[in-house]
Amino acid sequence: MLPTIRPAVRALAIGLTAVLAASACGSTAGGEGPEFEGDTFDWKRYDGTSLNVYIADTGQVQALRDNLDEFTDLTGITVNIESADVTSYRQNLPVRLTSRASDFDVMATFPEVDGLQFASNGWYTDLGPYIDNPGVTDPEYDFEDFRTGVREAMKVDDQTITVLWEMQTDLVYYRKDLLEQAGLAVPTTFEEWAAAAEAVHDPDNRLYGFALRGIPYQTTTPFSSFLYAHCGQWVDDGGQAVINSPEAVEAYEVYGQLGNNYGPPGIAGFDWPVPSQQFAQGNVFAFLDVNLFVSELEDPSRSRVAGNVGYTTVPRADCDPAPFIGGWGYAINPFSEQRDASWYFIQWATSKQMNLDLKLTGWPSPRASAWESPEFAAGDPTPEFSQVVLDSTENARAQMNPPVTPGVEAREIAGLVANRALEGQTGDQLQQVADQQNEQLQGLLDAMQ
Amino acid sequence: MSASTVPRGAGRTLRRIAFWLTLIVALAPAAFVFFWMVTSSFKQQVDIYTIPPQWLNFSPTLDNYRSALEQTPFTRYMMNSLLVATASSLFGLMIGLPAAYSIARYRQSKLSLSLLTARLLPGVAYLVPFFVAFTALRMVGSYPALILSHVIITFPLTVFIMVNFFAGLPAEIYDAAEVDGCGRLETFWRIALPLTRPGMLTAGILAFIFSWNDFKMALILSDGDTRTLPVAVFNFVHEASLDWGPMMAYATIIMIPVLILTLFAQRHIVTGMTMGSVK
Amino acid sequence: MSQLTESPPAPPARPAGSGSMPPRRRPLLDWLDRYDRYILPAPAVIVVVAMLAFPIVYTIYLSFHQWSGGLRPPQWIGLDNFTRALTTGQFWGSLWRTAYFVILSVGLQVVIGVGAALLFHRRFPGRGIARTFFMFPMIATPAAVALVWKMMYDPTIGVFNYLVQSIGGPTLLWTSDANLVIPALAIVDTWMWTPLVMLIVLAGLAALPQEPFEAAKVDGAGPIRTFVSVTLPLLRPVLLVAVLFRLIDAIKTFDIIKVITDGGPGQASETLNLYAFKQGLSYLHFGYGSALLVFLTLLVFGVAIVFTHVRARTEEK
Repeated sequence: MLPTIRPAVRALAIGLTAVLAASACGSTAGGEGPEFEGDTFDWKRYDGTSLNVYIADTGQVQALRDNLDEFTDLTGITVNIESADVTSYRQNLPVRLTSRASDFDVMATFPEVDGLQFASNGWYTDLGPYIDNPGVTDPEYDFEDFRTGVREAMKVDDQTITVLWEMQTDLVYYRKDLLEQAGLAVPTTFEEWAAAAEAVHDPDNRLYGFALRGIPYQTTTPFSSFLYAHCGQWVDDGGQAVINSPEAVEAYEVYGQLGNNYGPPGIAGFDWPVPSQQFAQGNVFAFLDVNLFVSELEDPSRSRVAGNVGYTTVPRADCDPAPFIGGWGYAINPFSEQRDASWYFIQWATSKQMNLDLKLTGWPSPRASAWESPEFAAGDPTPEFSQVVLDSTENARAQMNPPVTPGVEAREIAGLVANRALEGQTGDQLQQVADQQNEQLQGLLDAMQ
Repeated sequence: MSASTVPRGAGRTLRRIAFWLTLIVALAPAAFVFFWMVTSSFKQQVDIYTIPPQWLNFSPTLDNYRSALEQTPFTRYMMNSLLVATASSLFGLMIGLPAAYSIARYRQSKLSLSLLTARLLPGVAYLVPFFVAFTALRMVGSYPALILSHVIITFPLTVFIMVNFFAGLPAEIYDAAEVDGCGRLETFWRIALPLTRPGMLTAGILAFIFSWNDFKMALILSDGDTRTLPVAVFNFVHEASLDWGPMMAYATIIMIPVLILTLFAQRHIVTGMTMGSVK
Repeated sequence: MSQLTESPPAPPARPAGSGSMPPRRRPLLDWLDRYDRYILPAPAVIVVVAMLAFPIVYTIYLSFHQWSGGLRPPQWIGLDNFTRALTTGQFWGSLWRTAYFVILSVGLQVVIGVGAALLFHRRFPGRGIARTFFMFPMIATPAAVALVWKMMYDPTIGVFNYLVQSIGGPTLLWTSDANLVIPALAIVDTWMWTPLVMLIVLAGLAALPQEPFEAAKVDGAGPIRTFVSVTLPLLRPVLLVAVLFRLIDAIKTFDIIKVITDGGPGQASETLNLYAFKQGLSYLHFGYGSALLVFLTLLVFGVAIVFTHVRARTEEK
């Protein structure tokens, strides 16, 4: 066609080979532990380095930016923070890691969702050797201050790969005034909640008994509390998918009936913020979801029910209540060339003081000391809520997602059953859906081997 | 509707009323959506969610604009958007003009088809390869990477529009140019280009708009410093809340430049959009 | 906007080096002049080859492999990704949803677009302003517009459901209802792109010859019969172009579906493009996702080629 093409094609072929070679013969990453070998800790050791931090913005980034000078004064390390909203972050991070980008040192991860996939791709740095090494960890750091349930949530395959900056857990939000009008005590079982929802439910006046998420992959978060309370599991101890077991199907059924009988119209299409929005508008009596909505619901410019919100632990059924614990945390990019300095940043950003400062702004801190501190307790606008969260850190043992890779797809598969249940499917019909989805989940499990 | 049953004057009035009603119906959807966007941008979160909706009876607030402008490095995003859209449309013109001229003058239809292939590929197909390639070149998050990726948007548009403009030039000018002793490149540079200035403006404006509006490429290829406005809107999708108010404020601000451009250059936009569809 | 097109009419090509060149002492420029048909498009060709060839080659390469982006290099698996797609219900489902969305939205756009063009073809005071206003949806930023629609479609607090209910209609859940979600998205697409069809048809109307209309008047044909038997047949080539333009883009629709429903509820609005994006960029099945993109690209090319042929045949008549 044109004489100019041939060199271009050649250059392209060379480029292509380079890229493919890079993805086939790169260095292995992560898990090597700190480079520093010594046992005295010194904040100033990496004076003059500069770090790039690439994280999702869950609302904490502004506070982090405001306090960065403090970190630079302490260590002499300059930090550049790049943040993105959660949705685009989830889209972008894997792409960046795939191409082994080393232009960021600290990254964010949500182990419940990313964990297994990232671990099998070699995208994590094992933080254990850092935490246990007095040469690179501040003696004041106190890792034990993260309670057992929280520490478990930081692990994948028994390796600590992240330190959480927030702590998500499930609870039930309800309207104190409506509960009082109905003359009921705070329910503690799923059956009692259904009865209470029925008592309050008044669709003619746009008041609905109970709201839940409906979009398939998002349902696993609240549904995990239903599943464990009904003695179900995602995957049994033998590594077989069991979302079609009698216990699991009962849990799906309860989820679906609660939402379908007493939920607002369109519940099967509810995105994660919708239940709380409906609640804030005064359209809903109660909803079960994560603990991130408090400040929103107690703010009169955003909520019509501020001051009337009650908080209680997730209910029980045949088994004990088991809220999940998880959240976003900092991790070290295994391709980074400044892993030690990155750990310094993570230490500082997850220190007791930072947790407390954030806690005072209403942030769900993962450190027990922040919740128990006198400064916080003195000004705590919602002590009830704080108690619920502290209880959760003690007795949480649940996983909000099937422990299967890819996490997103596993959520999609398991969540579809809940979505169908919300659309009104029950009994044999629902069992059929569960069987079919279980087979798909098993397919993913088999592929993991 | 037959007008023969009513007296003539009444028929004309009826027809006129029917016409204006139809026009209002035709314009209503656009008006309603923009109205909803703009009014929501002045509402508090709590009012946005009220049913029945508060059409105009809410107490307007500037808080959303305040948080949109203060919580994000807005000026920076605006400059990024301007820079990327301007540079990529200029670059599209730079490489597109000579190609379009050559296609028009020498009837290189195969070339024209192969260049326009760029228009047929699904945008999603570019994302991962671009990212991988730009990473290998250490260019991710840089302006050149973003501008180059937008050339995929601006360049086919430019070629397509300009081929029609160049083809519209009368053949005599080439002869005249030759008589005057112009070489061929000179003819292109000194004669064809100045004659097709309106075309360049048309292509440039449209390329600018489509680059300004792009969301896919910027989603993957920009970073915190080079983020453009359409991606920045999603900063208000938080883990615990969707801040509709600031999002609507942002959406409103993003659209202002393109809407103003449309008002001033609607003729050019119409020309560009319908180029080549009518022979 | 720019699409496949046959090469436009151009002055007859003249053999290179013809004409009387006045003698010059600039050999380089003379050489450049002689090969101007190669020199002028060269930068464009280089850029396009560089920007297109790599994505195409890389996508095809990945489509024969299994890879999740990790440290293990891509594994060659031959045609497995393609056979897996062809034997998966989800693939056929996404294909069907794509077809449904495309036919519905392009159909609506053509019908409403022709109507609007007839409206704007008349002269009336304020026509320019009205036409500009009608064009706004087409040039507004899709990602931002999609957010506004997402809000308006919201099942409980959305204004649309309220409007339908307030005129005594049923509760319509729009994007939360698996049966309504594609029509709901087609409405958004129609809102955005009807102006384009309108503009193209308007340009076509302006270029129509007058004689057939005068003849119809003499025959005493009413406005409707004139439209059906004179206007429409004459507009056919223009309509074909409009349909081709819209088909190609509608198959690839991404932004509005991604923002408004992200393929939901369930998989009810997961078109082929969304399916490929999800498999590749959300689940990190880069190989399978690439294979789906190959299918999508073939689909677009197929439609473009078929339509270009139809158009060529129409022109011959």
